[in-house]
Amino acid sequence: MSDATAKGLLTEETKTRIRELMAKYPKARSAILPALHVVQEQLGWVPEEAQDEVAQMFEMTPAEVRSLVTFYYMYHRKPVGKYVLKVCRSISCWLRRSEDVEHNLCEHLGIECGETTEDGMFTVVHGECIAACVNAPAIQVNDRFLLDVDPDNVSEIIDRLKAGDPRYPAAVESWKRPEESKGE
Amino acid sequence: MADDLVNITIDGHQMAVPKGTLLVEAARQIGIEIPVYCYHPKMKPVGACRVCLVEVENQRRPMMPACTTTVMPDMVVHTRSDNAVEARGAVLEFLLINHPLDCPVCDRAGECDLQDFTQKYGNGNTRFIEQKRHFAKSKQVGKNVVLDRERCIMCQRCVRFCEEIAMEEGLVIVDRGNRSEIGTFEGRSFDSKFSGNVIELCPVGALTAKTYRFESRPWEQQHYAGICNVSSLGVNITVDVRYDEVVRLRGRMNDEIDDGWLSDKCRYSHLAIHSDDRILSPMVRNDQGQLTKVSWAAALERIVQAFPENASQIGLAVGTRLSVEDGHMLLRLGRGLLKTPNVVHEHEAESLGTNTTLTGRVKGCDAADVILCLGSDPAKSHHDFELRIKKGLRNKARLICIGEQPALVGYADYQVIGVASELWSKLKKELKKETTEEESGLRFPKPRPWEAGGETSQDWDALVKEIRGAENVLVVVSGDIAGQGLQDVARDVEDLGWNTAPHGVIHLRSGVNPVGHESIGLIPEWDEDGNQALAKAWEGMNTDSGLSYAEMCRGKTEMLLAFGCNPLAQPESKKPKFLVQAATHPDETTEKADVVLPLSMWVEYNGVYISTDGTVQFNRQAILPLGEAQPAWSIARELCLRLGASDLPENPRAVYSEVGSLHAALAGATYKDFQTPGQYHWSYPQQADLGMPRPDLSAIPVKEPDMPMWMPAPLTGSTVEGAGRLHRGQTPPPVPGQRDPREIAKLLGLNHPMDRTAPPALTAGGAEKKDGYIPLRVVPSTSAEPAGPTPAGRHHEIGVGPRRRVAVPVAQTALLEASDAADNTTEDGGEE
Repeated sequence: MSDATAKGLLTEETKTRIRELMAKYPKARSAILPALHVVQEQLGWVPEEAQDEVAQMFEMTPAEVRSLVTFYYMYHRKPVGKYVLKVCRSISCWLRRSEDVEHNLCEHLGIECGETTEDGMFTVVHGECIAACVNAPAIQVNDRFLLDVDPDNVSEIIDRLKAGDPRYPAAVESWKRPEESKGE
Repeated sequence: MADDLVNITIDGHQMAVPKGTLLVEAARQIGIEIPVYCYHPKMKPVGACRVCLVEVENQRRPMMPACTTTVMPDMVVHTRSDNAVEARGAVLEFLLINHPLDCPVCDRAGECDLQDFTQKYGNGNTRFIEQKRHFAKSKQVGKNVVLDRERCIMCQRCVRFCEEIAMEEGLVIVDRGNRSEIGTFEGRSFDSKFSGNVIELCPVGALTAKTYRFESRPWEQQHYAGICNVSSLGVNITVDVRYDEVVRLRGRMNDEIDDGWLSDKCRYSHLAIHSDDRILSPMVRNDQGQLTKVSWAAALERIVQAFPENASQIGLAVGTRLSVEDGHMLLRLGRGLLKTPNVVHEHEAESLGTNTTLTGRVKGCDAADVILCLGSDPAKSHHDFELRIKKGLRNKARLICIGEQPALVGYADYQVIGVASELWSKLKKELKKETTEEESGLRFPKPRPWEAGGETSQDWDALVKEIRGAENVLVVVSGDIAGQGLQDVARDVEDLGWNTAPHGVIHLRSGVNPVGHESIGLIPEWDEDGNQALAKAWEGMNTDSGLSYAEMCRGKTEMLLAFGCNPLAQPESKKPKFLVQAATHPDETTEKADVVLPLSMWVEYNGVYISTDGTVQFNRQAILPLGEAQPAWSIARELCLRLGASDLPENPRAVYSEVGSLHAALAGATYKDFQTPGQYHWSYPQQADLGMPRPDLSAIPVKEPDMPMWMPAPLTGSTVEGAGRLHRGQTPPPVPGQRDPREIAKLLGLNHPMDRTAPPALTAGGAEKKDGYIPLRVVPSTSAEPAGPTPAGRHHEIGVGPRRRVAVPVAQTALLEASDAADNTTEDGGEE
């Protein structure tokens, strides 16, 4: 056991939030998935020590929690960058050059898909349909959408994220008004 | 009664089965085999592997998994229809996509369900030409368990075993989809007390035992029905022997005792049989104080000479690993011929007295409302019992632990830690109090201790209330009651009325066969009433009360003969003047013994063992005694002969008959009592010759069967005999592996599943297809004429369905070759 486990990785706040979630369901176990998201919110990923702690809270075996964490790919099993750029590669986005989006993003950042930049800012992964087909190609940046991405101008995305524009990505607007994004 | 039965038709056989029966079980009852991987009768069905697909008429989805579908009134099921056969073949094709062609080096080959079902039901070919998924071979997931992830077909039997049956941390599925693999929590070893069971459960060669890897082939083995010689539960085992060497032990289903499971403690106990330190020849201590090898005659002579004048100065201590026959002959030697009263077994101090017969059965856990564990931890001494307790807990039982029971923490609904005898007398008093309080009718289900939010309570009042409200109490008293001050517990439970059905009391004894030895009188006190016949038969035998085992260990006798036990390991032990030990392995006693005799282990001779709950069971000899080792009954017999006795029984069978004729407890017992065959383990249907009776089809009413009556496929499952093997005088069929199976099918007038066209019309001369059935037995054509279309137009002949072989005549072979040559020119353009 490492020291981290002895002390516990999870903060009291995280634990309180998890306990609140557990209370919401007839069987506490049902809250395991949102609870793991809470863990990921705190740590950025779900390390094994944290899985162990969650297992203790839920009185599950750590192996069962590991099984869940590995089943759902939205839980990160290794540290990721501050921004995780999930490039949709399902059919609508693909037809609208999502492959180029991914390629250009990776080239611009100098990483392979699945890797994190050295400064720990960006991770590019590919994902399946994020239900934004009307605004394809789409990227999910952490928990927000970035829609109608221009494959040839991905550097702008990176620059704006680096600049820390607090309203960016503000894609939800565009999501509500698909007719505005029709002009291509 | 009739309401509880449902009429169904399976493959034309009408039958009535209880409501809620799974299709796969219903079919099994009449001997129709439906292949399964994920299904296991002791675990909840999951429907993961889909190989059990059968066709059910009038369903929106005609193909139903037989392992998760329960019978419905007037259901009509086909397990051999075109659709069923095709679906099964397709599922197998999928399962084989990532399965390596490892069979020649795989431990499971020969008893592998994947291999057997593929031979029987597979398509004989694959359309998968892409790269198979690869993992590093042989990953050690536990101390004794080795995992080959490539071979895994994701049936989840092992995962479910850990979760449902063992209810503890174990194997899980890691990752998802085609990347799924079996694993543990990162970096942790799978070291359960029951880890070996997953090896047995695995239908393929993915999980293998470290002790058995590359050791043996199933077809080289003989299988013997044995009894576990590690705990007193009498767990049933199969002893697998290769060339007179025990290569592994496996579980043997006995629902009364083990439910088919086997703990690692027992599973790997065979390693001691062939260990390097086995004592294999008689030894006598010489003047220099060293043990030297001598002949049996010399060793026995040395013992006979050493017998002291005063018979009461001789002690005989009998280990409980020895059988009833051993005990009987040693009793004859001691009380009958040497005339010493000191003949006891090593765990006699635990005896609750002979007056109370405890009625509890191990199986009682299943139906108990309350399992009350008294004294030390039952799960610690009797590993296999832990699984039975857990089964009870899953059903409805509440577990109450009184005393020190750390292994069951986390499962106990109530636990009170303290001195067991004090707590018990307190509890006893409270339970005897008259009570008028009404139980409230509503009880909200609380989470159990092993679930989230559940906890082990120490609330004494709630505990008492729980016991009062229970209709079925099972009391489990641990073996070492002597150290716990619980000697009176038998009388107490009788007072409380718990020794009568539906309640029960189990006394978990230490050792293996103490109950057997007690029932034939290897105890210090002599039971006049019970042993009259014995005293009469062995005239002049000593019927005094003798020394206890502890007293013998303390050197109270001049001479001590220890058979299969280790008296000098006891506290305050002292070597007597002359010490004889018959032992299998060296221990503290061997170091000081004057004469050491090699003792056979339990697999080396036939014997009867009585389990802790009184089940009398027979252990079959599996191998010859190693070296010069002899079973204890035989050594005792030799000594009896040297003391002038005659007419002694010459084999265990005769000894046991004598036991049956002399002892009231086992009156009339003979080896004939054990003719009922044992049950084979579900995971090894190939070895059903251990005893599953064949179903009697005549008992099932059949109304105008629409297909010829066939012999039931024996429950042996899959005998590979015949499939893919050539017999003398047979023409080998051409190997179509390199050719397009559709072309071959076309030439043979068969329908390949890849061809979605209608099957060719049946011509006269071929067997008639009846209502979509393939008759189970098709006699292979021996004539030189083309075999004609086989019934139902299934595809080509290798490994198809119920083992039929189509002889391909010479003319057609030539045709094939011709078509091959023609194909070569357009090979690339062919299919797409």
